[in-house]
Amino acid sequence: MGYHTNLYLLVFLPAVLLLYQLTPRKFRPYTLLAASYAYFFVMSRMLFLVLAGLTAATHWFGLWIFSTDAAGREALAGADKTQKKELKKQFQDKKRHVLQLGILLILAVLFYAQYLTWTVGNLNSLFSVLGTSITIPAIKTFFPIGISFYSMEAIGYLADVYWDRIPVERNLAKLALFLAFFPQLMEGPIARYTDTADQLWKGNPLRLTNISEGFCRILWGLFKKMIVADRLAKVVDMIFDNYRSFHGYLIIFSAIAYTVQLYMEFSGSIDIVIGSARMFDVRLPENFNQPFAAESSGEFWRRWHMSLGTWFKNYLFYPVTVSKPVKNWSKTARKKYGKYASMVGTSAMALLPVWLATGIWHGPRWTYLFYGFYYFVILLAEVAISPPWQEFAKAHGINTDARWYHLLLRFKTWIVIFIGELFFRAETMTKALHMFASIFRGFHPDHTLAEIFLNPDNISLQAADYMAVVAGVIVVAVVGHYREKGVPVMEKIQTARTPVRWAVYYALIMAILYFGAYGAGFMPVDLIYAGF
Amino acid sequence: MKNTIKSIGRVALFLVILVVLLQITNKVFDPGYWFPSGWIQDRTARFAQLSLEEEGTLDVLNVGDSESLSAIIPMELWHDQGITSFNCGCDGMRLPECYTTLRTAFQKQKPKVVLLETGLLYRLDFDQDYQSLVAENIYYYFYGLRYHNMWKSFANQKGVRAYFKGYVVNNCIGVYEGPEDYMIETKEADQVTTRNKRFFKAIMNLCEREGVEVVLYSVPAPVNYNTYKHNGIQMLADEYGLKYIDFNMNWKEIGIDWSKDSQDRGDHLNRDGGIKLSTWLGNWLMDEFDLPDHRSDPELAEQWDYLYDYCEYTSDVLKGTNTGNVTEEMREKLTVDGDFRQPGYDR
Repeated sequence: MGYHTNLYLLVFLPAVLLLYQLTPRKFRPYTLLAASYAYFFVMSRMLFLVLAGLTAATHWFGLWIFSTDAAGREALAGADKTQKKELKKQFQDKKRHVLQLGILLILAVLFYAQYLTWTVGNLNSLFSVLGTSITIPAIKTFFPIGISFYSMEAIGYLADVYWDRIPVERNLAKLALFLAFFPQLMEGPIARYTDTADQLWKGNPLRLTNISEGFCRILWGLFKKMIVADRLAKVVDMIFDNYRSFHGYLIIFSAIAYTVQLYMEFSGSIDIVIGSARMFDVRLPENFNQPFAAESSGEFWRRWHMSLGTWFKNYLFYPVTVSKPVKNWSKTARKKYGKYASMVGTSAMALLPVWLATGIWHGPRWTYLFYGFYYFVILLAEVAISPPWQEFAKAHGINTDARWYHLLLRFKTWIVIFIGELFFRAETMTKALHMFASIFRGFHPDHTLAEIFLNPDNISLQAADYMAVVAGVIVVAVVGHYREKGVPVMEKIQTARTPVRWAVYYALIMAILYFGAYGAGFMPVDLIYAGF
Repeated sequence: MKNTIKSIGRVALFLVILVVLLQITNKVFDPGYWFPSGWIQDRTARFAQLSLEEEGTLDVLNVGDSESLSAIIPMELWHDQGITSFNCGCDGMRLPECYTTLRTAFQKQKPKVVLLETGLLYRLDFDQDYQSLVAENIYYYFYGLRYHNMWKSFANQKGVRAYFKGYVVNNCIGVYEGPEDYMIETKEADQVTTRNKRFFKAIMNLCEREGVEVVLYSVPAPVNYNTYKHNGIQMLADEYGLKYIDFNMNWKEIGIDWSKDSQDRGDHLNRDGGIKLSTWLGNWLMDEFDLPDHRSDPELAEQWDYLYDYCEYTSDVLKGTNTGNVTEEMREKLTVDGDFRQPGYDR
């Protein structure tokens, strides 16, 4: 029951809205919690116990951190001056150990569910290569939906309690709802406790303005997914499944097609998620901000899957940057090698764990790890090259404010993105490297794209499908262009006169119903990020 | 309270306008009304063609997934016994789709027999079944949505697929090399799931209301069937007092030759296999049911004889070849009024 399915949109969501509104206000959060667990049960059956267990453990560790802190304060209050420093360190250490234990437990569950089978497989391969007869037996694991998402939210919650950014949550149900809220379960966005917990617990009544806003957002998401993404899925799957048959610009086309598919599908799904939450008067954090307007890879990742980037920034990048070893190194390096080298070195030390973690977060595949490392190299290169390049540009009179310069930067960024997504999509490094190498060999200029992709023996997409994709991309690009210019498109629709607003809704609905890739000739396309 | 009533009123008005818009597009996408019905070339094509069949002319409906579409040839049933029938299944048909197909068919047709291929009964996918259930109910009232892909035929380069009362010619040969005694002796049964039984019950109730007799049948398909399924289906047939023909038990009797009669190594029958099965089935239907022989009806005979001849012609053009590889010569022979009548295959 993905968020794009008729079962969710026409049965589940309306039923929950109705039930929510009929429930007395103080019990509404419990209705949402029950609905969230019901949704989880539909998707992963008894594995809802994993979510429940993780929630209980997070709650318990949060209380433990708090009680350790409280005990420390009490002890310090009664201690004399000579003991205070030692006591403070003792309780800080204990508090930190509790946090580490809590995070370790969450990561252990995540590891067991996501990475154990892969790790065992790789170890067995290694043992085989080394010529040993050691074989670790396969272990049966489980994979509850969305575990990558709520695990991160749980770790974020514990870290925020540890850093005294938020008070500990004594209400288990409130924490449970924060972690399990059904629109966010499968694809995020990854929220901080302060982002949504209070909103979810308010139990505000349904209001037509919120329903309308949410409805519009859902329609927009469906437009992107069903008209563009689900169509491109067919041609992308065809190329990647038969990668040895394609070369040259066809591989380039596949990388671009997959990037567009991924963006339309993921951002479209997030629109549906945010729209669903909005109906309950809950504002979830945004996850995309016209990523293809970015002029550098760093900027791209501040516009793409923003909640993931924010999480890693808050809970990995900053802690690493301000950690003692890194700070000490930075200080020493500045004296020894200068400010520039220190800056690059510090960036490298902070970026590496972030990007390896980003890569592996997507799942147990070497291509994901490569993807993370790829962006580490690119982003470090940008950090390293930026200062000397600015000087070079200034010295040579290159106008870095010129339109052509910005377009060039954007084009450069797109190339980096497309290459990255080629590796991201390929299931194995062998396939990815083969496809990448194929770009530079085996061009067949006598075969046009039309001959390859409109050949009914190759693929079931027709010319009209490509027209629909192009039209859909143009519409999304135009809306994105205005949003980039600061025009609040969604807000303008909401504040427009009723006939105009309804005309937009009807146009979107009819476009989805009559141009959507569903029904005959199309297999249902699962949500890509629901698999992470 | 006033605001709540106002809000409900606005939502109701929005929905009413939406329903009106969908009813208008229903008419636009009604097969044959605005766009030619031949523009519907996908999985819904048979459904569309069925809705265009002359009222009350079909005595037998054959429903099921792709197995049913290749095994029974309406042209053979017509030619041998004058039985008017239609293959109204579709690839990967789900039980909710089967229900809607029959419910729609019964609006214009009063068949005596529904042949239901049992592959449907073992299709298991909770999500897809309930998606299908919701979708089919929507399609029943807003049938334009079923054909929403029709606009793509503006730019269609595939040509028009030739359907013969829902049958598509396929002369591919994929030799089945597995064991011939694949139906082992056992009393164990692979029972139809409770959920699928629920859907099946709805289909049975529908057919009962319409006074139509249901016959279960399993096409000869070594890769799909076994004795466990046979026993499970037999239990269901016994429960409802239905006739059940399992062609996996009598394929030798009907003359199936696995080296020639399968399209794809024991999954679907090709035309030769379909002719053998249809010949046997036609005789059986005439013996079991009091079906009229329509060959003497001049109006029906004109249409059906023409289609039979054209089906034979198409098959001759494609004889001995994989129908996926249509040569220029074949294409020329199969072009009618500028439309290439592609023989097509269903997967």
